[in-house]
Order: sequence, then C-alpha cells, then structure tokens
Amino acid sequence: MDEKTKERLPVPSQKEALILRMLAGNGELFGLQMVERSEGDLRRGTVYVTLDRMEDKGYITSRQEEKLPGAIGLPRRLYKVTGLGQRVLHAWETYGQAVCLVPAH
Amino acid sequence: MAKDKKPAIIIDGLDVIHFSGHGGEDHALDHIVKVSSELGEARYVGIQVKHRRRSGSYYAAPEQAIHHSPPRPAPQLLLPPGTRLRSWLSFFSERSCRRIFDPIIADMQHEWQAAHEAGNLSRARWVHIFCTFHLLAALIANWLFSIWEAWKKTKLG
Repeated sequence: MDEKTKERLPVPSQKEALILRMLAGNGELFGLQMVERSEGDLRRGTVYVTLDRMEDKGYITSRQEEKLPGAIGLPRRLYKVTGLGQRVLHAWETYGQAVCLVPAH
Repeated sequence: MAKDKKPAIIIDGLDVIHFSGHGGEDHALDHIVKVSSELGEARYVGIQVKHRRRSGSYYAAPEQAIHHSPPRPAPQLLLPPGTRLRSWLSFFSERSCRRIFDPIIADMQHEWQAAHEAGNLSRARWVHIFCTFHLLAALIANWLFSIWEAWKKTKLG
C-alpha cells in the first residue's frame, strides 16, 4: 500500500469508533445519551468537540430537535450516523478482528 | 385604589406574576402592564403616580413617576441557566457556538428544567454549576483540538 492510499484511509479514534457503534445500534441519539450509555468512556465536556470533528469528517450528521410545548431554552441536537460513518465503522471492526486488536461485537 | 388592581402576566405559559400598586399618604401608584392576549406577550411599561390634591388630581408621565418615586423591586423572572453565558460566547465563531456550545447549554437547560419541575432546587443549582464547568472544559478542548489540527497540517506534524 503506498503512502497516498494510507493517507486516504479514514481511521477513527477509539472515541469516534465508540460513538459510531452507539449511533449505528440506536439510530438518533442526543449527546448526553451517548455520555450516559458510554459508562464513563465519553465526557460531557468533550463529547461535543468530538462530535463536531466527526461531522466535519462526514461520519455523522446532526439536526436540532423539535421544540416541545412548555420546553424552555435552546433546542438540543440529535446525531445520526451517515453511510460513510457506517462503512468506516465496518472497515475498522473488520480490520480490528483480523489483527485481534478490537474485540468482536 | 391602586391596590385593588392586580393584572396578571403569563410568560411562556409557566409563570403567573401579579403586580400590585402601592402608595404613600399623598400619592398612589398604578403599575401599568400591557398584555397582549393574542400573542401571549406581556410588557411592563412603568408606573403611574396619581397625586391627591385638594384642587383635584392629575396623572404624571411614567418617566417622571419613576424618577420621583422609585417602584418596589420588580418580581424577578427566572431565566434558564446559560442565557447570559451564551451571549458572552458569541465572540466565538457561529459554527463553534452552534455545534459545541449550544448543545451543552441546551443539555444544561433541559436538566435544569427537569430538576425544577421535580421541585429539586438543589439539583437544579448543581446542574448549573456542573454544566458551566463542562462548558469551560469544552472551550479548552476545542482550543487544544484546533492547535493540534493546525500543527498536523504543518510539515512537522
């Protein structure tokens, strides 16, 4: 594999892979739900920075929730995995299983 | 006289606030509130002083009334946490605010409202402090990520 091909291969970080796995299994989630489900692997302070970078890379998309009657303040954001995100996750898990770095899920 | 008038203001369908007039020996105050029932909006205009004199009575302009007789402290509206913080963060890029800071503030307001509805005020205060701390953490993390990404684009990175 030449250097240019290596540069083009998207390699998710551990946190990105975790988020992609959660979104692939649950559809749309709020940032806070991801933090709660990660059992300490994701932090409230940094999860949105990670999600922002993932959105830039095209792994996920987001939208604002519809405001419910009686709700106050700003609307929250819902995150969803994209086709690219799913392919990256699949490739990453296949690669992990092949070299025994990532346990099978 | 003025004490009898108690217009109600409904704000966001959550709070009902009663304004009542008060006065001294030689004058009475009326709080003037314009309420639009169609829009559900309320606007506090000011107070009006009615001087009682032997020769008759007259109404002073609201500005004069406020100048000569300061009203009682107005009832405080409970703003959701992060409202002022959000305006201070506006010097960041619109994208950073929309994608990073707004969702944190939205989570804080959501949890704060849930705590208030449950009557757990100590939890609401804790959420405010806790989430403000996390907002600062996000701010620092965002800066560090930006520096890291800028460094990666250089030849050294």
